[in-house]
Amino acid sequence: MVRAERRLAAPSLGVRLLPLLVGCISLAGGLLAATYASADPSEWLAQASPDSIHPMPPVTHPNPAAPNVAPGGAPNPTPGTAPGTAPNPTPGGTSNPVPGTGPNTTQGTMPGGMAPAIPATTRATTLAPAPAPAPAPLERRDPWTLHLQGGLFSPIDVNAPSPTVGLRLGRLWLPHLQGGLLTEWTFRRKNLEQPVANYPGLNPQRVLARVDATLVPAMAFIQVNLSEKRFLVPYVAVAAGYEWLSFTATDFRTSEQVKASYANFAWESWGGFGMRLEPRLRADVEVFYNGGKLERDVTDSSGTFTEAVDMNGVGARVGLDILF
Amino acid sequence: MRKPETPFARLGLASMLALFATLAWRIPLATAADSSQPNIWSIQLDAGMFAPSAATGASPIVGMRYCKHYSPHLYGGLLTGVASVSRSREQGATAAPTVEPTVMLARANARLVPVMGFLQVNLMDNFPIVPLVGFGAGWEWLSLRAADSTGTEVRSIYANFAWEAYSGVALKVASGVRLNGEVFFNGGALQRHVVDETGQTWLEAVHVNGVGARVGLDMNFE
Repeated sequence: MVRAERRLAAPSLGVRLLPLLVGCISLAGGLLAATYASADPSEWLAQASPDSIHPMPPVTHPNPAAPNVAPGGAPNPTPGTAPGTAPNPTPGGTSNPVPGTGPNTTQGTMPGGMAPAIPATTRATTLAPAPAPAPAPLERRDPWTLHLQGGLFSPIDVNAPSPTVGLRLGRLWLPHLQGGLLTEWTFRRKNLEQPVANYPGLNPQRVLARVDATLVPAMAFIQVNLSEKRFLVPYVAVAAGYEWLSFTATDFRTSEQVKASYANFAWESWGGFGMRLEPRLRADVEVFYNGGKLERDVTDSSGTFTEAVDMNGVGARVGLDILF
Repeated sequence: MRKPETPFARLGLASMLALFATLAWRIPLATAADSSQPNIWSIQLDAGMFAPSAATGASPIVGMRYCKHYSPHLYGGLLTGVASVSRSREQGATAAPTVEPTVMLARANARLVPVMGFLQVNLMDNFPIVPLVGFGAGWEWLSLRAADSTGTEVRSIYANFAWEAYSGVALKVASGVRLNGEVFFNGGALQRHVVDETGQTWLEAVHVNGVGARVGLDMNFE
């Protein structure tokens, strides 16, 4: 008992840095997500789905000195245009080829500033297939994925399933490859109980002693999706990082409490199938293996030694994979 | 004794909260950007039987789920319900059918009330029969009232975190109306603090793990 208390007073470096590590990872993830969140939604939409870009209605600038920039960043040879834009060789296209020669319409402007005698909507339709060079292709941002999951994990040494919940925050680097960070929370509680009274039905139990154990990994992962087109998406993944196990044992009869924390490098691997419900939503079912031998240093009268706990085990979980 | 929080622990907690808040903000923003999704809500009224493993036999349960349709495949909302568990011990009861009166030695009535947030996934929506799975987590209360032959009556309330998972099929019976049939598992160990005659505080726990089945009517509204 005393050892455990002393252990808590001077935890190992890894345990002491746990809150800092989790904090830094969370802060980085939060800031990254906030950066994306603060982006212009229309720009984000346009980049995520180029089909959603609609032609802008014709806008006439009565002032000849008005900025002469076509929608969508179409090139314009007019002096004063932002550097780097390519010239537009199409007269009557999306720009005014003659500087300072009258009103400038963003679509269907004729040389000399004469607008064509057709309705605006017809102009847009008619001029759509004009041989003007297409706007520079929009760079598609790699989307992020959030995977929320829950399931059961059964360490081999414990041989009892424990509930686990977790999340994976990843980025699609390639259509088939994603990488990111994961964390989970696996909880195990075991009570020593005694019946309270001999009532029929639901039997209340007096808790004489209790052990709570919590397993928390923080890992980086790489996942390969083996299909991008089918309804069922098989995938495999591997992750590596650090894992922490903390447990608290309480004997309510003697009011004694023992706490201990173990930590070490650990890894995880999983494989499963995802059911593509929507373009941005997938329901996943997977089995996983967690490997690691978590340790702590214990000092007693005979010296310092290392205690280890095997956290090798298998589990199964279901989850939602959300693209955003 | 409670361990005092370190600045690192507070930093970690604040960072985790920031992360979850950001995600909670960003994902609805992304999903809201798709204006083609109508704003649909639904309410499900259900009834069935629940059999806690700590008590023999099944007990009636009624419930309600109120949720938003984030997409045709993903619902999220709140659920609640009431399960009534009533058991008695009688003297002279025999296995054979009899009409003779028996003496009730003890009786216990319990009401189990969960309030949970839940997520439900409809695995398809193009067919009249829609398989679905759902998971809920939240708080659960158990009100227990027991009396024995001496006239002693005990009333107690237990509460704790609990969870529920369910799976079933939904049958489209009309536009916006579905008939759901589900099996579910409720998990939790509800507890309360008790002070005995010596002044020592104990924990009392009631395990409410059990399975059940229910049918419900799910109605959409915008």
